[in-house]
Amino acid sequence: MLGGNLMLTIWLWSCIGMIIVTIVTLKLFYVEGFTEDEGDYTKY
Amino acid sequence: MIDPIVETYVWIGLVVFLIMVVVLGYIGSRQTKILADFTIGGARLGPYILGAAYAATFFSAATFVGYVGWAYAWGYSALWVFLAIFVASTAGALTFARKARTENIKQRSQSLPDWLGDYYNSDFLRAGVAVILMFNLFYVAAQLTAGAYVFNLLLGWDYLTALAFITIVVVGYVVAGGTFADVYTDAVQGVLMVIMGVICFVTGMSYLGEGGFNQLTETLRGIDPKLVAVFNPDAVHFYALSAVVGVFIIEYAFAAQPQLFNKILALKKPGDLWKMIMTYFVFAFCMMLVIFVGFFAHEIGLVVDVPDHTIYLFSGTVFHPIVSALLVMVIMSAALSTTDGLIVVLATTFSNDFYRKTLVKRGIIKVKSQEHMDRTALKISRVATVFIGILAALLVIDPPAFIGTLIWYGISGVASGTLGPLIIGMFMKDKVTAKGAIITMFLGVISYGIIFTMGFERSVMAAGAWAVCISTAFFLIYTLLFPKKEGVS
Repeated sequence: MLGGNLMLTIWLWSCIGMIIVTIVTLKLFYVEGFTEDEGDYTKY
Repeated sequence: MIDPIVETYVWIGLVVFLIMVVVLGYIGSRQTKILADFTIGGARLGPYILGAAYAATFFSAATFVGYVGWAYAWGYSALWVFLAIFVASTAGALTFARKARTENIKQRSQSLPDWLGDYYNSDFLRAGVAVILMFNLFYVAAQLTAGAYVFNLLLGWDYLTALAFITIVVVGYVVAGGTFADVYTDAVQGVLMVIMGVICFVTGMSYLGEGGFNQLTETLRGIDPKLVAVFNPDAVHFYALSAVVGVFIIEYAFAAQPQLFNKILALKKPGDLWKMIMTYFVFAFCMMLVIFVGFFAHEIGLVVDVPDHTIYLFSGTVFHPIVSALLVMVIMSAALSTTDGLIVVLATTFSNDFYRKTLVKRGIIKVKSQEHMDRTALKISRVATVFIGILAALLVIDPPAFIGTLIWYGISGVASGTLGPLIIGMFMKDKVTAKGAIITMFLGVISYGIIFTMGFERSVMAAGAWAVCISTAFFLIYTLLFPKKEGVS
């Protein structure tokens, strides 16, 4: 599919790997444990 | 000679685009009442609009014009910049975003210098980082050049007239609406950039025929075998593994650039960060597909003298005039969506980081009340916006050969002085000291200057990366040797 070119192959598999890593990281560290921001930015 | 039909569609597209920008700028101006509205949208924006704006700010005309030029000139090795952004920058965002936003629930900082100054409780660090941010004038200047090229190459305008026009447009709506205008226009522009990235890729693929990428590879190899190499010795930034590693490091640092950092601070609900990052992630992939145009240009036989012109010539050759007009809007979008974000943060350095948090806070300037100070700070933001726009335009009266390279003078300079204090500070909060952060800031910038100007590294991206490594490693060692007992903030 990628004409047997090494650079194109590196590109494709790196993209696939990063999609997996991002989804897993968001699931593990970005879904829970946040508190609401009640800050009033008009006050200094 | 410009095709009159294309010119007509381009004009229609530009008028529609400018009307959209003016309307969104006006809506933003209605919501900009205090300084925090100008700097971080009052920290009340939603995740999807911010994710789109983050992507639009991230990807500038350098992507649509400069990186396509790299792909044309340097072949497949230019895909390293695609990967560096998609892999390393995303990793950077995942590393910083949560900590930056959650810490700001307490800090209520309004910019990257402000965040670092508050985090380390150091006015000197805040002011120092604010000065370092001035490196980004090169970045603004490069975007203005790309926008001016649109009028210069497609409509036959004189370059300087085009440069003046684009500067007035972007300065105008930032003065009016600050971050609200920035984010609203960026989100719409981001959608346009996604559409165009996909159109360019799909159209280019259609020219490959049944041979697909095999045919493309053979075409490139026939022109020059270096165009299909993993590392191209002619490619300034991708000539060897060491340079590519540098590109990955600096792209990792790029995720914490101030014009992106303030969008994380602008998010209303910290728990929505995952939605914002996911939106960015999808947008980023689609936008970067445009880089392939540099390869497809060879396939259709384009001969380009100035690599940065590749996207314009490709468009004029393969697209229907309506699509060419859309591309013009997209390149304008790419340029403006980054420029406005940069101008906002540069203006913020004057109004918030210098005026409010240094001069007023230290009693050097007396104010009647908080409200009076806020009104004055907002005015300073707007005046500074005009000043920055003019200064950046003056830098590119003679357009640079590679705008994709010019932007890195700015990014590398900022990253070299800020990443160390940011990343070590975030992960060693109870041990880091302001003194260590300040030394690191100076060390990073001085290292960058020496590495690049003395010729130790010919890639400005890699030079920034090595400076980031030196300063971050120093701060880590310094912190381990001289930890603070009570913690920072």
